[in-house]
Amino acid sequence: VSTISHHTMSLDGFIAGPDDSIDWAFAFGEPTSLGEETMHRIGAIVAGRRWYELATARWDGVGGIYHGEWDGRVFVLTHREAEDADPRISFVSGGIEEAVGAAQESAGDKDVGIFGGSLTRQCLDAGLLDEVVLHLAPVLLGSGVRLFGDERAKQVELERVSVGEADQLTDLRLRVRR
Amino acid sequence: MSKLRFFISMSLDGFVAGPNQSAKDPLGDGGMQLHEWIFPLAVWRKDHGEEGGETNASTPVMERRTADIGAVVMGRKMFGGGPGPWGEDPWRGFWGEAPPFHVPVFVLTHHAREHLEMKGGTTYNFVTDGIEAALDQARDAAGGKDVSLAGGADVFRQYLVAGLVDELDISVVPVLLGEGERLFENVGSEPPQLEPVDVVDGPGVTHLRYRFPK
Repeated sequence: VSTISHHTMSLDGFIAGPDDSIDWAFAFGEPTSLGEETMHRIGAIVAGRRWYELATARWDGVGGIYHGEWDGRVFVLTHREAEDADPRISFVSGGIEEAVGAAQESAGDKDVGIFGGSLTRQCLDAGLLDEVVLHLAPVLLGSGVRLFGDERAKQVELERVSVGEADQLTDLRLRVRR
Repeated sequence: MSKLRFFISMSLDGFVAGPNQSAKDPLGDGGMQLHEWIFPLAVWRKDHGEEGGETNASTPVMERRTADIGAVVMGRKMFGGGPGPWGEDPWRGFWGEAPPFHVPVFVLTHHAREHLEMKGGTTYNFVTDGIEAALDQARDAAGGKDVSLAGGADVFRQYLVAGLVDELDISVVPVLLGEGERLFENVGSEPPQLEPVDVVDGPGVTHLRYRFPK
């Protein structure tokens, strides 16, 4: 069972633009089959509070994930539980290990998806991340949420598994070396 | 019109140099990893007076970067010699008496200086009136060929924000440096739009080429 950080990222490293905007990510056509393959590998998702607020406002919960084609539960790492959440969303307050553990249990034989820059960084720091799947978009956003964080962090080596060219996106699959 | 082209190696998390950059170690801690894909290449070794080496998917990328280049623009830090006035025994660049450029090079500086004729076709010209003037002079000297922007990253950003870069050729290395100098920092709230040109998958590196539509 692998832990996979899966995002569309701008060339300057952002997964959300100013004011958490994500509409830009849909402007470059569909990715290669890597996007769908990754979706099918993922059995449960760990996301952050920021994802929760955005997903609730836009799609009323999990409906926006992978165009609504994905089935599974989402574990939101937060200290503030929300009421009336989508029944497929659970809140975890213990920390990244607990959240990933809960998602692994829910995912069964499948992999765990990590959504969010802060969570990706927390997983890297805790040695919990196995893969990074990226759809690199030909755009500069200038500011927003960076996939790999704003703070100083330790060096991490990866190994490229595959590269693919879609319409305008460049798809990268990388394995974290440990 | 001749294009302004920029190529550089960048970590997956967007850094072009690691932390603790200095005159002695301009790539900073861990920064050398961004360039390790270059050194085994026969085409690079030949340019640096060494024999042997290999040919792989990165070879044509290296070749296209020097093809059809008629002049070079670079920043003062890239040229080296420390900040401030040039002094009594002025610095003559990092690349010895026979630099690998073989074309006129225009160095951006606040301190005027006579131009330098080097061996092998390289001349160093020192431009004190800004990035646009340097590009104009480089274009004149290039005689219809393209101009290569040699860096550093800060000079690239100045040209980028001014909308003067035509082509960006980034070699992405699968490492997260975690800190250091970012390529895209302070590019403004409305950075220029770009279009993908092509992707080349080399050993230990992915080369991404973009153009900026005018």
